[in-house]
Amino acid sequence: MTPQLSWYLALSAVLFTIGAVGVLIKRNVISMFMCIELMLNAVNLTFVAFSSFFRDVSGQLFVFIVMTVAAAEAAVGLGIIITIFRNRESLDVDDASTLKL
Amino acid sequence: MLVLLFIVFAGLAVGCAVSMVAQRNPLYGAISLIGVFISLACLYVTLAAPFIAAVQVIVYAGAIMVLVVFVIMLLNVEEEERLPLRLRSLIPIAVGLAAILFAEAAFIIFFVQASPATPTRNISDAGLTASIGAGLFTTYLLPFEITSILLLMAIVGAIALARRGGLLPQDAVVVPGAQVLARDVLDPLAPPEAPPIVAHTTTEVERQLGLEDVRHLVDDE
Amino acid sequence: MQQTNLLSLIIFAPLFGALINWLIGRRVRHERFIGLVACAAVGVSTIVAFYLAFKSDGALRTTQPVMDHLWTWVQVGGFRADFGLAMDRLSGVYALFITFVGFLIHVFATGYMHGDRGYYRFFAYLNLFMFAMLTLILADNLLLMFVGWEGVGLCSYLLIGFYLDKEEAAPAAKKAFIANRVGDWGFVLGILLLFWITSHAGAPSISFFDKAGVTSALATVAGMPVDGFGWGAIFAGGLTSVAFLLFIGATGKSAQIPLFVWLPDAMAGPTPVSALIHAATMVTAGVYMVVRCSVIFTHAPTAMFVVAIIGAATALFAATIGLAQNDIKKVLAYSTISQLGYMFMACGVGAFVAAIFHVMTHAFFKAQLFLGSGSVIHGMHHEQDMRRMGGLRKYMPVTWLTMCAGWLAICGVPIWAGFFSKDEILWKTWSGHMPGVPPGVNKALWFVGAVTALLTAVYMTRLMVMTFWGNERFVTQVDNLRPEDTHAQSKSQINNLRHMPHESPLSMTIPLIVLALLSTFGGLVGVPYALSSLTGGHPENYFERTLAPVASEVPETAGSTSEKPAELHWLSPAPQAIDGKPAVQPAEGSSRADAVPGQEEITQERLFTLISVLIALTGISIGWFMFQNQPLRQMPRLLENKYYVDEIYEATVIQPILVVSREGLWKIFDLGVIDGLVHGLGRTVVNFGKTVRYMQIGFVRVYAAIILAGAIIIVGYFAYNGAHALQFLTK
Repeated sequence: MTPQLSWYLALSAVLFTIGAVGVLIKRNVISMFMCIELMLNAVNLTFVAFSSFFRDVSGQLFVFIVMTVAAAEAAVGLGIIITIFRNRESLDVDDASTLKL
Repeated sequence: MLVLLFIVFAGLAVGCAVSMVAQRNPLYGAISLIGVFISLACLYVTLAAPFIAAVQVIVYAGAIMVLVVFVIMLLNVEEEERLPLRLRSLIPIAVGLAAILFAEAAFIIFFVQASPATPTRNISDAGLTASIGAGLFTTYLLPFEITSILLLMAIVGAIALARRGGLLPQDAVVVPGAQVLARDVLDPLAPPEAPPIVAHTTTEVERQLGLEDVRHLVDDE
Repeated sequence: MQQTNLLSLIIFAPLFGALINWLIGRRVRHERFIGLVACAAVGVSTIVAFYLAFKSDGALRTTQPVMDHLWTWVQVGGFRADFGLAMDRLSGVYALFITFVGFLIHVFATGYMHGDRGYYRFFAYLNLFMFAMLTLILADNLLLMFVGWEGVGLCSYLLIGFYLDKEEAAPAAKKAFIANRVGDWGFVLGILLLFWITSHAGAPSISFFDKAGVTSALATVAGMPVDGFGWGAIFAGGLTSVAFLLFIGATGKSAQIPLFVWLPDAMAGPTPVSALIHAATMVTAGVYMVVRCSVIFTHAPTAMFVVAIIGAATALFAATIGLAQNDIKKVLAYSTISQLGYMFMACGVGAFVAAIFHVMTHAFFKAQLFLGSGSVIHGMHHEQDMRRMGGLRKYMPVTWLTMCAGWLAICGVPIWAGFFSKDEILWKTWSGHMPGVPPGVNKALWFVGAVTALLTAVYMTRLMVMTFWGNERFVTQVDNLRPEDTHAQSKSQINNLRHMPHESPLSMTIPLIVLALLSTFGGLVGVPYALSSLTGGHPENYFERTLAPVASEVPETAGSTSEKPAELHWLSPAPQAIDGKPAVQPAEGSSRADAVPGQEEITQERLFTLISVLIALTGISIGWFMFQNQPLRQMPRLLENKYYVDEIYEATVIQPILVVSREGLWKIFDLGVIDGLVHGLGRTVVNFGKTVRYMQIGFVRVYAAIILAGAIIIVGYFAYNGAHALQFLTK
């Protein structure tokens, strides 16, 4: 018996859900960022699984590009986080609600 | 055999993911996330995608997470407090939404599985480096080039963000956890060198600005 | 028929006078000028009315009405109402005495209102009233008549509330207007129903006379079968309903039960107003309307029965109250209500001509009595309470003598005017017949009328005795009087009380004399055959001869169907037919009683005349002996408090309406429902905003949750559709 496609997809769904919950629950900005990365990885797994089972290379190419984008996003995002930290001395995302002054 | 491998690595991934969400210290969370990445890389290998597995370890675990750990060390992030002070109602909402999302995914997965077009074996040679390279530089050349420009933009943006001197003047007093706002943002008539406002709540700001008797329309929180 | 624009001069002269007084008199403020304009305006009306009535082809000489079509006011489909005037015999008689008595009262008022700041206003309103009243009686259709009806109500309101500083004047004016309004509701419904009925009969109209393009509604009704007798007929929507509704209007205007409560309070107005409006003219408008529409009433036996009963009841009721009143004007007010009851009782038994006769004589003697009381009040420096009068006959001889004439007239002493009219009413009540009603009812009505006549004599004698005979109660009271006890208009006049009462000036006494003469001799036009036969007179007296063609005859039996119209037996020269149709249509199924009554009837009539005289003399003597020596004899409290009618109305009608309005309509509906809807809408919007504002509250996590929720919705949509599309794969 070999692992079915649906197993991989289910794993991916679980990881994505955990990441979504983490984004909403965590109050530290960096933890929230890491949960977003987790969600991206879950999607990567889905792509690779489909690419493997259907013998199509475009899935993996997509994963390649997703990773690149994730790297760029990490760089810029962390830069923003540092900038916010410099102004507020706090990494609590609830403190960044300037709209509700 | 493959099933066993799958179960091991899948369990590892899920365990590390749960650990990452549950950890209060972000450094431990980062370590857990690295664990997730490694187990995902192993899963890619079982899916006959060795190139992607290698790139995952190099880029994600090796570059992005290192960057995150650097930032954590730089900002000297402390442990999160135990109970959330605000928006306590968000936790059950989050769990609910996640449950709905999982239910929808299960629904789709069921149909995918039941479809006769879904093969069961996954031995493919689509994951070899040669095929990836072939696809990347022929069919998907345009996305490749655009991605490189995207990276250029990220570099420029990171440098621009890091170079800025901040919104606060040199002699500003910064209170941890408080909102610090430039005075000329709040009050257009104030001179730009006026000291910034430091406050935790709206009422404190009003008191400092001398607007105490301004009536509010709705006041709940 | 003849068309002449002179007719409109009758109504427009007073209107013009009112305008002049209002616009110019107000600036000039010269009493003589104002009085002259007002009296001249009414004088013009009087002269034109007399001319048009008595000229060779005038209204009272022929059976064709003198008409004047001014313009077509409303014409919608089959509904047509013109601003058109018509003087036929009925409105001619009315116009004559209204203008003449009105003229005399105007002259009186120039003396009575001397020194009042609102002199110009008074005469402007008084002329306006004459305009409205003359429009009412000269109108040739029901809608214009209603315009006049409302106009007199308005002028009544204005004039009752004339004294701006008198506390009780304004509520009295309001009460009059509102009570009239309640009656007007019935009137308007009656007009509408009549229109509906006539349009069902094929000739929609609310006009009284045939004209170019308009058929007479009354003629249409005359051709319809008589309604049966029965209480259900009132609600059936036929002629009985029309008559009943019109009568409701009459109870409002002519102060019958249940809407009479405004008339005693209306005495708060100046005395000339009471004389003109509430004795001679406005209150008789109801009787005019009933007689004008007599053909409708004769087709509705139930309605006539109701009219008779209410008239008799009102007469007796008001007479008992009048017995116990101490204000001289209030006694006369209740007396007016009582006499109006007589008129309606006459209409109810079918004696329409007798009713009009009594209207005319009543105008004479009641105006006389009111003006006389006005002279007394004026001479007593605005003292109105009879308990503080007494022995005035040597101070005001002219007033005394003229009031005696009015007194004898109202008591029914022969040959004074009231005797003939009242006696005729009583005789016609006894000997008439109302279809569908057992004859015992007629006898009972006569008995009520007789008792009322007795009471009338008693209370009028009481009034005369307390005022003019006996000890002088005013001198001794003067020193003890507090200023608020009298109705003196200024402090300086209180000092005048120490002076003796004086006779009134010529401007006031001359109308008194003229009216006294009319009260004495005015009844002789209507001497019944039973008496005139003693001296070899004509079977029909002048009055009957004049008015008989316009009053409808009571049918023999109720429910008689239409056959060939009965031949009218005219004693006077028969009316000329126009366009092939007779001027007046007789009621269907009726037969004119024998023009010359039989010998037995004449004997019975003479007997009843004797009984009436005896009743009058008995009443006078009772009053004399009861009150000559004891003028301040206490009358029963119940009567003095007018059976607490006002209090009962207040408790049963007014308070519930106020409570329902305040608690129900205002608090529950207006504030609760309507304001509640608006406030609730606002509150809903605010609450919605309060909930929705969490979407943009500033917390990033909330934003993330919303994004997730949105994503779930979109994924769900595609999953659902995609799954359906993919379902064929699973098969």
